[in-house]
Amino acid sequence: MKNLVLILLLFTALTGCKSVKRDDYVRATLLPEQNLISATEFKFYLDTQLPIDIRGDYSHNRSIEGANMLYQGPPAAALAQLFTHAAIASSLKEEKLRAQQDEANEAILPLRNLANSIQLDSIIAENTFYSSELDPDNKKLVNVKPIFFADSTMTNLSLKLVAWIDLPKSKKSKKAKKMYQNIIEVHAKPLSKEERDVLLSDSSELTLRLQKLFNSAVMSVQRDVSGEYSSPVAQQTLHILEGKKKEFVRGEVLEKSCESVVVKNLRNWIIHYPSAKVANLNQNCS
Amino acid sequence: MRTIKIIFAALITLTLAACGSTPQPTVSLKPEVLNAEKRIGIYFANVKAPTTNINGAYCLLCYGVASAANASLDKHLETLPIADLESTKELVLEGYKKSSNNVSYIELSENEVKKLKKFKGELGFAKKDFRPLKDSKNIDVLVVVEYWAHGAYRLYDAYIPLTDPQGYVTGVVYSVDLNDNQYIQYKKIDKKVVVDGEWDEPSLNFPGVTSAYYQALEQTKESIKKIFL
Repeated sequence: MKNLVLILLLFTALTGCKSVKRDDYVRATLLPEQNLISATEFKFYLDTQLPIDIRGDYSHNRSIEGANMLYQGPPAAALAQLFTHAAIASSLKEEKLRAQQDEANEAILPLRNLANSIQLDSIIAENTFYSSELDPDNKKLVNVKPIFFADSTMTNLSLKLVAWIDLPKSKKSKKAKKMYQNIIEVHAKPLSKEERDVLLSDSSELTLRLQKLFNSAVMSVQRDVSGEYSSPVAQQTLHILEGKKKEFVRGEVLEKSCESVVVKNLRNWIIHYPSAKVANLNQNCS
Repeated sequence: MRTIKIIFAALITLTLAACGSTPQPTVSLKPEVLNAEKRIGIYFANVKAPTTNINGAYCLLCYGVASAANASLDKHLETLPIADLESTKELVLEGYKKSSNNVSYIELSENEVKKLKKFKGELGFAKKDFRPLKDSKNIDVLVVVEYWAHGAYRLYDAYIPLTDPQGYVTGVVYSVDLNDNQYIQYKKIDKKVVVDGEWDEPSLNFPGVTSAYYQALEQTKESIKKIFL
């Protein structure tokens, strides 16, 4: 019995060693058919008091080195050492990720400083779907939170728009459950060095570029909650050109034009790529 | 007495040094060995279902615990099709067709592979003596495509995971001149792709790890294409 408890404790401790939660990650929950929101009914809410959140693209690699721990003593002592080892490893992983995020943010400091001078409502501009009032009982109002990203050269801008609809809080659960949540990711066309320099010296230029990303993402939220993206399409692996390197994305192609390619990845996130970045889709665009 | 000690230490050093063999470095394809008439046979070794490959959980109990902790991921990976990985043999076929008009797949049973003797050559030579296949399979060059493991890779330190599961493909692509058992080409594949964000999503069928696996597969295909550039 004692051994069984020990094994159960050990297993619980080890399955507890999971990856860190991040606010630029959500598990997609798609709207059930009966709750779909038609294009004409669609409205979104964004808290415009928040500052513009622009972050550096960071590595997600949380791998750490082994510490060569030697467990000793009676089982209870060894188990305590094992828990300590697990806690240290988990903390080191989080620390590594945090350091990578800090480093990435540091690399785009000029852009972050410039973004501080922009109000979030200027990104919304005159988007007709915007609702300035939050109505918690309105199940057709989609909350959005934009998180902008830039790579270390500040020539590649992107947006992760977290979108969700809360279910009313029940008496049993303290935390509001989500009726809908997803991420819409939009990648801008890479900037030339000259364009980047203009961007860094002119906040109105930055506003326009962020606005374009935001509007594209909102359009996709509208399509997602209206069920337009729900028909299954055959999966394929897209080759995305990132400078001289290639990245690969597995998913379903939802839309393609000479301007952009919209993909639903395996997490059901909607991702926009500029067409010029997608190497293996035949399109007759000159 | 001192001389005996020195000889003894030297012998021990030599013995231990011999235990670790130098790994075969990459051999770029030697196009001068190939021509349109060369008969080339491509052997694609059996591929097992994808799974989680655990490294570093060396004690039996550690491995058992690590294996149990990754059981649901294993179960999901086993459902993924292997057709994509198998399709890499077509890349190899197309690649060799650039050099020869006589390229085809060959079958080798487990027994046939087992029967091949060891070949005691230096680096640059295959470790098995493939030369008998020249007559039995009627080929001049043998190409081997072999995947040792694929699916996910996770590094442990005894019971503790040091990495999140990563998309993984490992194996080797090589070709051997059956006149002298020398490598005409040799390239190891070792692709590990970090999951973008959260990995532990069993209710969604592990989309992060699955996506990383497909990325590792595509990187493998790119590596194979580069052999023929």
